[in-house]
Amino acid sequence: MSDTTFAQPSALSQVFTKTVNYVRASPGIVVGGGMLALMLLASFLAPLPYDPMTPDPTAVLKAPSGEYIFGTDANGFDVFSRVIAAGRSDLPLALMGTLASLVIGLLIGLPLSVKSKWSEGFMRALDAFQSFPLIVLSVTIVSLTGNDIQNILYAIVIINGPRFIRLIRGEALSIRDGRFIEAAIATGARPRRVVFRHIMPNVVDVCLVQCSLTTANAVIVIAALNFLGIGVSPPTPTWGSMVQVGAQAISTGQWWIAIWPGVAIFIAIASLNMLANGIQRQVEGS
Amino acid sequence: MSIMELHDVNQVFRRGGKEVYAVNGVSLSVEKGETVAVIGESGSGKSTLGRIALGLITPTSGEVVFDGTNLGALSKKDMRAMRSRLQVVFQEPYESLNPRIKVGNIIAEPLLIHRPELSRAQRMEKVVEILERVGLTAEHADRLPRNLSGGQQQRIGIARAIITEPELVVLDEPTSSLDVSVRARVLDLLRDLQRERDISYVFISHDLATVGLISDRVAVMYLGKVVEQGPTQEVLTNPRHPYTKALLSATLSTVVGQKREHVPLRGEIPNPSKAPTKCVLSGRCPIEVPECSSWPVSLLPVDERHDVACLLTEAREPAELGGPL
Repeated sequence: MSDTTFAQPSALSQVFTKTVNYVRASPGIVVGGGMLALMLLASFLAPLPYDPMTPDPTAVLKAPSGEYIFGTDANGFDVFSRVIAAGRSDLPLALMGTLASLVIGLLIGLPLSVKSKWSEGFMRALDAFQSFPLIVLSVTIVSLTGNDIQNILYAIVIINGPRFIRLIRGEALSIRDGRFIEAAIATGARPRRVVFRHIMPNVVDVCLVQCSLTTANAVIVIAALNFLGIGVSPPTPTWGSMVQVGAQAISTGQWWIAIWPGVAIFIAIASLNMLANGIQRQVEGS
Repeated sequence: MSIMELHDVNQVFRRGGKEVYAVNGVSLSVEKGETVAVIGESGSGKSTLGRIALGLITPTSGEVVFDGTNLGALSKKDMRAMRSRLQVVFQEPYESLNPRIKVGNIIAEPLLIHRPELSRAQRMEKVVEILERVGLTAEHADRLPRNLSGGQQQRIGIARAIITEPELVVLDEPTSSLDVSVRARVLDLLRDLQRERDISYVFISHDLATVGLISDRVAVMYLGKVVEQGPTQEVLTNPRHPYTKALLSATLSTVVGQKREHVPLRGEIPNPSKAPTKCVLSGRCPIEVPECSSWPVSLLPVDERHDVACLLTEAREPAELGGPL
C-alpha cells in the first residue's frame, strides 16, 4: 500500500469551478443580476467627484472633459455625480414598488384561484380597470393626491398589481387541478392550508420572472413620472427629471445632459430583462 | 360489520349543457378488513365512485355511510376530521406529491392536521417509523419527490395514507403506472399492511389479474352501473354477465393451454349522456333479446353473495322473467 495522496482541489478552486459552471448554465442571471448589483452598490457607495445636490454656477453647460467626465448642465450640476446618485432613489423605489405589487398579487390572486362567479366577476372588473391607459390613470391619481414619492409607489402598484394578480391566479388555477391538491384535500387540509402550503410554493417560479420584468417597468414608470415633473422635487436627482431637463438642451447642442441618464435607464432595464430571461431559462430547465 | 355502505348513489355531471350520468344507482358495502375491487374501463365511473366514497364529491343523490355516519350530513369541519379515518392512494404517484415539499414533510402533513398535539420530534419519529414500514429509510425524508423512483413515490403515497391509521383506504389504480416487478412488491406491501392494521380497501382497477391477487369481492362497473358483483374467485372463474365475460375473454389466461370462450362486444363504449331507459349493454350485447331494451335492468341475485344485472343469466329460468323469450 502506498500512501500517495492525490492533490485535492482546494476549496477556493471548487468554488471557482462551481461559479464558472453556474455562469455557463445561466449567463442571464449572473450578468443581469451582477450589473444590477453593481448599479445599486455604485449609487450608494461610490465616491462622487462633486456634490449632486449643489450646483457650481461657475461651471455651466460644460461639455464632457477630464474635469467633468459627463459634463455639466445649465445650472452647473455635475451630470456624472447626478446620474450615479439618481440610482439611490430610482432603484430602491422600483424594487419597493415591485415588492408591493407582488404582495398584492399573492394576497388577491391566490384566493381568487377558485372557479366561482365571484372570482370571475372580479377578473372582469380587473379587465375593465386594465383597459384604461394605466400610465395616464396613475399620472392623474398622483397629481390629484399630491406630489409625493409615496405616490410614485402607488402608481407602480396600480400598473403592476393587476398583472401580478392575473399571473398568479392563472398559475394557481392550473396548479389547483393537480393531483397533489386533491391529495391534500383528501388528507383533510383546510382551504387556507391548500393555498399557502401547496399552491403558493409552486407559483414562486413565475413570480421571480415577473418580478424582474416589473422592476424594469417600474424604472420606466418612475422615469416617466419624473419626466413629467411628478413625484420628486428638485434638486434631488432622478433619471427621469434629468432627461427632461437635458431634452431642452439637445436642440442647442448640449447632448450630454440627457444622454447619460438615458444610458443609465437603458442599462438598468437591460440588466433586469437579462435577469428575467435567465430566471425563465433556469425555471424551464428544472 | 360493514365499515362503508353506499346506498343508491347517483352522480350526474353537467358538461356544457349536457348531462353525464357518471354513476348510476350504485349500492356497495365494504366489510371491516375486506378488499372490494371496483373494475371497469375508463369512463365506467369507477374513479368517480371512489371520490364519492371519500367524500371528495357529494353525490347528486344517494348516501355514503362510513362507520354508521352519513358523510353527506357532516359539516365541512367534521368531514375534514373524518378524513384521518378515510384515506386515498392515487394512480399517478408523482402527480399526487407536491413537487416543492420534501418527502418527510409530505408524510408528516396528515399528522400536522389531525394530531396537532404531537411535537415536531414525535412527528418525525412517526414519519421515520412509517418510512421504514413501507420499505424506505429515514434518509429518504430529506429528498424531493422527483428524486425518487416511481415505486418509491408510490410507497410515499401509501405512507401518507396510512400514517393516521385509517380504517378505509381507497386505492385508485395504485399500481397501474408501475413496472410489473415493482407492482407485485407494492401489492405485497398493501396486503401486509391490511393484515397488520385491519384496513378495508376499495381497490379501483381495470386490471383483472391484479384484482384477482388482492381482492375478496369484486364489483364490475359499466357505464356508471354495477353489472355484476360477488366473491372475486367466483366472478373471475364463473362470470355471469356478458360484459364481465367479454372483459375476461380479453385478458390472457395464466393457465397454459386454457382456452377462454371469446365473447365479442359490438361497437364502442357509448357516452353516458342519457338517463338509461334500457339495459346498459343493450346495443353491444351478444345475447340481447327484445326485452333488454324495455327497462334498465338492476342487480338480481344469482345466489346469496353473487348478483348480476342481466335478464339472461343461466341460473334463472326464463319463466322467472315474467315474459316470453
